Amino acid sequence: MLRSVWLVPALPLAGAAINLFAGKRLGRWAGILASGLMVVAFALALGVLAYLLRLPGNERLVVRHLGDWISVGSFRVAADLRVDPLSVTMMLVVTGVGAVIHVYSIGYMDGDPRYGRFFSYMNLFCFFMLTLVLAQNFLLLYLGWEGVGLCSYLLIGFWFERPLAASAAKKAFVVTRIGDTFMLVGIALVFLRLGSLDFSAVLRPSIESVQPSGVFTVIALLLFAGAVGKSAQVPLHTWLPDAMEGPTPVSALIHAATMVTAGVYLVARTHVFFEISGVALTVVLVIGLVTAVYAATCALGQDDLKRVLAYSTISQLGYMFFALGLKAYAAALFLLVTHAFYKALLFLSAGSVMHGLGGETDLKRMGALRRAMPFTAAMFGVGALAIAGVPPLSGYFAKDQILEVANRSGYLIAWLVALAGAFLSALYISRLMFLAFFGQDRTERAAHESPPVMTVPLALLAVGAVFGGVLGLSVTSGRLQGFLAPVLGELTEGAGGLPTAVLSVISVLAALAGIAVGWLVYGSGKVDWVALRVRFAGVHEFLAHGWYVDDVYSTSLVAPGKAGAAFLASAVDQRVIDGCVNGVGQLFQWAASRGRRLQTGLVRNYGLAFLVGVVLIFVYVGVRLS
Amino acid sequence: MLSEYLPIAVLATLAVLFGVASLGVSALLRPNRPTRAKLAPYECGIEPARLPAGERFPVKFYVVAMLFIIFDIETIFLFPWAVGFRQLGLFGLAEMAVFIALVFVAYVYVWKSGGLDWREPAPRRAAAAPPTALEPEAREVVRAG
Amino acid sequence: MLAQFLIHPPIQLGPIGPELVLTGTAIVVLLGAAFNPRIGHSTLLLVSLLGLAGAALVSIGLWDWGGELTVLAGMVATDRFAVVARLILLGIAAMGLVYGYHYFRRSGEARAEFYPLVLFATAGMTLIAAAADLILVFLALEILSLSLYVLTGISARLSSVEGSMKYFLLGAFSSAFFLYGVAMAYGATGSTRLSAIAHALAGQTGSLGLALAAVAFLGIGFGFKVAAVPFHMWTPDVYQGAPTPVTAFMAAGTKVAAFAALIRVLETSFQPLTLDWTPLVWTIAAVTVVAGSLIAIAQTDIKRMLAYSSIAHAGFVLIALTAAGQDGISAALFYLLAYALMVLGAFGVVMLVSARGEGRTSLASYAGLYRRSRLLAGLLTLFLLSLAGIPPTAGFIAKVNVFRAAVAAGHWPLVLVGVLASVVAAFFYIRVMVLMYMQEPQDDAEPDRSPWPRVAVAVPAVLTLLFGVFPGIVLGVLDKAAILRW
Repeated sequence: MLRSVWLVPALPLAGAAINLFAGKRLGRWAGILASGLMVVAFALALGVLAYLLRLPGNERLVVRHLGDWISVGSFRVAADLRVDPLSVTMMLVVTGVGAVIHVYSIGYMDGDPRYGRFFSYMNLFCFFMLTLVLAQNFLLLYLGWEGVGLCSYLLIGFWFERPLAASAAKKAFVVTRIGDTFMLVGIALVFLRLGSLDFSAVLRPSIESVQPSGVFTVIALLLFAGAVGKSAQVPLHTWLPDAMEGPTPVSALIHAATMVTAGVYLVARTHVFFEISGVALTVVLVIGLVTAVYAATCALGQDDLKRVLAYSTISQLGYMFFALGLKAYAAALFLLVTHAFYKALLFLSAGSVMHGLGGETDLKRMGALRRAMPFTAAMFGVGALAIAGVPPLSGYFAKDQILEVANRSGYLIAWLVALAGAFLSALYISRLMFLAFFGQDRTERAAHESPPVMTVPLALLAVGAVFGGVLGLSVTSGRLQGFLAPVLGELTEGAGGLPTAVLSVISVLAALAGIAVGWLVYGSGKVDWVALRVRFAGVHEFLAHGWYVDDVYSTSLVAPGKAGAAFLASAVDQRVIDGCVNGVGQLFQWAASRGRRLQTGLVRNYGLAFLVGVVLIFVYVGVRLS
Repeated sequence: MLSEYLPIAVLATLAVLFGVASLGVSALLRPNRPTRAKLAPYECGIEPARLPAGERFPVKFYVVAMLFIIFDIETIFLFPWAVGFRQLGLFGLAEMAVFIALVFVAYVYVWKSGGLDWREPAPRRAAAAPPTALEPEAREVVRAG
Repeated sequence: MLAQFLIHPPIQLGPIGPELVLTGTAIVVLLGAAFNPRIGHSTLLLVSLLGLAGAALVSIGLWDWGGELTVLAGMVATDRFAVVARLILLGIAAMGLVYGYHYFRRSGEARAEFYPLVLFATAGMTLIAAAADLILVFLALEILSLSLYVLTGISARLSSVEGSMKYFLLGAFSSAFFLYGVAMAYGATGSTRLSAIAHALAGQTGSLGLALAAVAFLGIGFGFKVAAVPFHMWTPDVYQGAPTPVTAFMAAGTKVAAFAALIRVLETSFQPLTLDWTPLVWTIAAVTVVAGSLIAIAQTDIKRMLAYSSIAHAGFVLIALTAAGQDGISAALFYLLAYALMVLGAFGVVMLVSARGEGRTSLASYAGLYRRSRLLAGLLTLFLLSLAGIPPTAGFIAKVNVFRAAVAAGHWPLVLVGVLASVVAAFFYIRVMVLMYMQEPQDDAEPDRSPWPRVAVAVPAVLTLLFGVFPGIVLGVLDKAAILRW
């Protein structure tokens, strides 16, 4: 079984190649092919899981050597795939959720002129994502890391005819590159200081003695910078809301379920560095918590269906990093898995709404959709309850466990802030729910339910969103946690804190309070939310613009940068650089035309040149001898 | 050091003397009755017609000459083998057989592809046969009386 | 004395098995076509390819040769270097045959002699790679040269015949120098066997002056074959005049074969004189990369441009040779492999763009190729990128390896020259891309759309990419082959 683990990434790659070259000719089959390959990949991943489960817990690490990738002097990088509980978990998420979203896309993208191209990019993304999670060394991981970034760029800008989509794609690429650059420096440091890029060689607790802990702090922070960019954490989060310009399945797959979680995976994978450093762990905790609450407030101010979900994703990712900062790696992964289900579900339901409304995403022009689209509304409701943290849905368990760990960890303020975030999450999601599906009908056209090829995937994801919780019922003894323990270590629970039952009640109350407030303002009809918005216009604008972070960036960084670039382009580049380049070019042209004249076409002249060479060589021989 | 070359110098002198002497003596002794046939450069009967300048010459002469040289050289190679036949034994025989077989293959190829046909070859399968602009009279052989 | 001379050596034919298979196949094809003029050329192609495959199998079998280092009275080396060089050459020949089959069928100049001539030339090439005696080197050199002279002129076009004539005249000229070098080597050391020469020179029993003159003369002979400046003048005329498949075969094959022999001669026989010949190779390498890259800029015909490019590439391999030892040999081998792939591919695309015969080889006919055929434009782009040494192609890895080896040997000024020359060279490669993608087609001539030749051209493309991304696949093998045993 493990011999064929390479097939898991290879199948989507093959699909990408086929669809890229023959996508037009395949027509509708392009989507079926791409989805079918993903389903097969998922089945293979399940096989790998089954194999791994048969091994004893502490032997669940298999490295498949595919060959040498680079070998330059002492620098050797192998093309190795790492199969361990962590990578298998990620692999299952990518292939499982990926397969469902592929199937959904068959219906969603129907009739698009670049249908085959779309599936080619989607498959390519899955290939790179699987490379990322299966990599056994930093360089291969980085290959996947940049590859998913490329696919993200291509897919956000898939409808590049729209200027907004094109610029959003560019923004996503540039902003994540900032983090990637730090990460690359971090990888270089790993090689320089620790002597290898191989995970097995580097990611072991005994590495601590090799270098002073300051080195590990630097490495961990550099790697984390990459994670911040990729996972849209403060302060590099601004690209994700704009990325919603891409097709909705893309938002579901890349910008909710998988790619943005790569940062979480990276930190979990390299948690050894973070633990040795200590400082880095705290940084992760703070950034995660700030992001979780910040993004939740922003989500409250959005009128665009998908932008609400985007900020929600940022917030949820913040929770994951928060958990990582608390050393509750398994809890973070648990949230990652359940979040993949319910956020994909929410996005795909949103896509279904857009499908039914002809592309409308403005909440102000929705309302009462539960009548026209009952199934979609139900599915969205399931997702909303899950994210709000209502038991027994999966989101409840995941979030509750993080709060529990926070409470026990001794960071009481952090716990309170996170609790506030949970309240806000419930609030923004119920706002979304009530504005879109309840209340008055403010639509401008008749809505309709989506075809089965789109609704069946919703149902599948809903099953995951509802029952995903059984994977990890308890923070210490859940199945997923136990499965991941050999890689991520057991959680050492702090003493003290409130009893588990009390904590659960508190977090459920926070969620219910959020929903209640949401219903009161947006669902009950007793409050005129439009008037409320006008009265607090300042606050609303502040939240709608994401605390004006983007605007600050554009005035303080982007505008001066553009001005500087314009100066360089007009003055320096055109005059100085081009002048030099053209001058050199002309020089060579001149030399070439001179040199060409030697080639007369007459054999006797060739022979003469030959003899001149002979004479010169013998002059050398003579000099050498004397 | 140069004394080592003395035998060669002696031999060269002798050779020159022998040539001059035999020509001189025969010029003195022979009767001198020239006829047209006798004055021809080659007494084989074919007169080397002095072709007008610029006239085309059948390229086949060159082909045949080249083929002749190849087989001539083969003979040169055979000669030392014949001299050392006894010492070379079976090994030499086998080597020579291989050598002759290879030359024979070339010979068969030349024959089959019409290299030895003096007439115009029948149009070969190649559509783009080389141009054959030979004038008829150029192919005729002039016989001397 | 005579009897002593006449004791024949033990005969082990295994190590020349590939050549035996090749010549045997060639004779069969030659006679088959002679006896049955109506035989289909596809049959000839098939038989020839089978012969190549057989030779390749025999070569692979020699990888683990456990016998003596040289056989047949020290004439033939049995090392892995020879095996690898042979395999590369056989691959080149296969591509050349497939190209030729297609090309001549379309141009209407199909001649059955093409196949045996290519096979004979290949036999010469593979033999030269294994030759461990200067006499055998010369013999093999002549076998391949004579076949190539005829192949160059196999088309009835005037430029083809002209190229053939020039090649022949200058080739004979250079052969004379080579032979003189062999005589000098014999004079200096009393032997023409590579190992014996090395031993004699190491023990300093011979005359240093004669030995140095021998290196110079042999170097001139090889310099002509690999097209090093100033012995390169024939290259553009011959590459342009010869039918494109022949050009592809010749450009790739001759260079690999001649370099294989040059490496063997320099690194075994004249290894004791390394300090003496290195400055010579150094200078010729520098002049060659600069001149080749520079003059290529002014070309208006793609075949001539690629010819100058191949001159420049000869310079790059010479740079690898300045780094003596396993490192340099391995780098040179990889460079030759990458070069063979990209030059086969590039000429393959040239053949398909020209569609029929040699009508469209001017650079102007590449304007707007992207509109006519995306595949051909894409493939040519890949090969040009590889020729220019841009990642992720094999050409990039090859250049990196060569430069690394040369720097390790302390020749960084030469590497600097090489890098600058590559920058200049990038200009004319990229100019072709600009033509293909950014300009409108000037006429409505269609490229050749036959499917199978496209598949054939895609083979080097795939390998170029594969070796560019995963050089490890072959580097291990080449490292093992880079040890000359004698």
